[in-house]
Amino acid sequence: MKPVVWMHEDCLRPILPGAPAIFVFENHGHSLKRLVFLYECLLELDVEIEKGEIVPLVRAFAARHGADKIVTAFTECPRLMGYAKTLGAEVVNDDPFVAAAGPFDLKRFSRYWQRIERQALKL
Amino acid sequence: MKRDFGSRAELVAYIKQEFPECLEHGEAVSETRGGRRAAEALLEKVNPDRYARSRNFLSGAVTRLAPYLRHGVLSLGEVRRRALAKPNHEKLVNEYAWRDYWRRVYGQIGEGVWKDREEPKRRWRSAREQAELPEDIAGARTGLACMDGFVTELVQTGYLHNHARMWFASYVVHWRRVRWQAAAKFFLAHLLDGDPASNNLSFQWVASTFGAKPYLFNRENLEKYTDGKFCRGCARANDCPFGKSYEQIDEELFQ
Repeated sequence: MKPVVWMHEDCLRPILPGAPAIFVFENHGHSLKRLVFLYECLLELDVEIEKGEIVPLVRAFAARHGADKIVTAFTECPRLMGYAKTLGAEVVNDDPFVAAAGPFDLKRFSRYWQRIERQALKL
Repeated sequence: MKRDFGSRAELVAYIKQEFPECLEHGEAVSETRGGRRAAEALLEKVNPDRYARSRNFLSGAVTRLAPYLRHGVLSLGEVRRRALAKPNHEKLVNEYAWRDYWRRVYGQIGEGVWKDREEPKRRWRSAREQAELPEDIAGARTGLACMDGFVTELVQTGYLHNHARMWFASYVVHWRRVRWQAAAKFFLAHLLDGDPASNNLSFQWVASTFGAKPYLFNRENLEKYTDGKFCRGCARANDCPFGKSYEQIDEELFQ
């Protein structure tokens, strides 16, 4: 298998060290200060930086590297996960807060906390 | 895109040139540096015990990790484990859990974070509601040193202490009767850590559309946790809308 990583703004850390990675800036309305912050994060990572439309740019990147798989990090953002689906990417949930399996009662935080507290406070 | 820059100023100039549309939110650049190195340096300094005792004070030992968590430079799993290795970590881990909770709710409702989750628990005395953030608020010209100070800090630095976020949200939503979405949008545009999950759902918590009651504060509370730095010399110190008891404020704002 020869994977490439599509890195998005919800997970700016390596999820598959050694695999070629790409990040694409969309026109998403960010402020200058946020763009500077994001760019500085990217400059510390071994990642190709592009701007434009995510799906065609990631596909072209994968083709250029002869990849047979695109891997990306899980996020709750529906827009980003929509792109992952379009790309047919493998989504990895890298280092979640707790490993507890759902479904969770999310009506109030107190209910959620009650459910995960023991696990959250254990190494 | 380019990866080699001689200085931060060069990077900023390049970003302005490549993303001119970002300047609609102003030209401020935060002192907060992006990247793992900066995040690590902050993570080293996290003191869960001091955090638990002082986090509500603007001068308290807060972590400043939010932008790095928001953008996944650090994972929630990692910061949780680092906290557990230090004494008196329960409160800090509980606060990290809020971020995880907001994310999970976001995963469940998606763009629904922009709509009221529930009916507001109280009705304002005046039904008038403003759809847009008034210019005096966005331009830091209310004359209230606290609120104007919060907006100035937010716009210049992309950061605001959590307690300040709550006071500001409460002022905008309950005193000024602005739709929470307008203020949430303003925060999202300026916070380095702005994300629709924590940001919008916290606004909803203040507005009581995702919580049991509206979040209110008074001058005594704000003065205590800011060490009085805004009230001293505030042009409206004698005309402070927050200088009342909670009962008076409740009576004044709600039916």
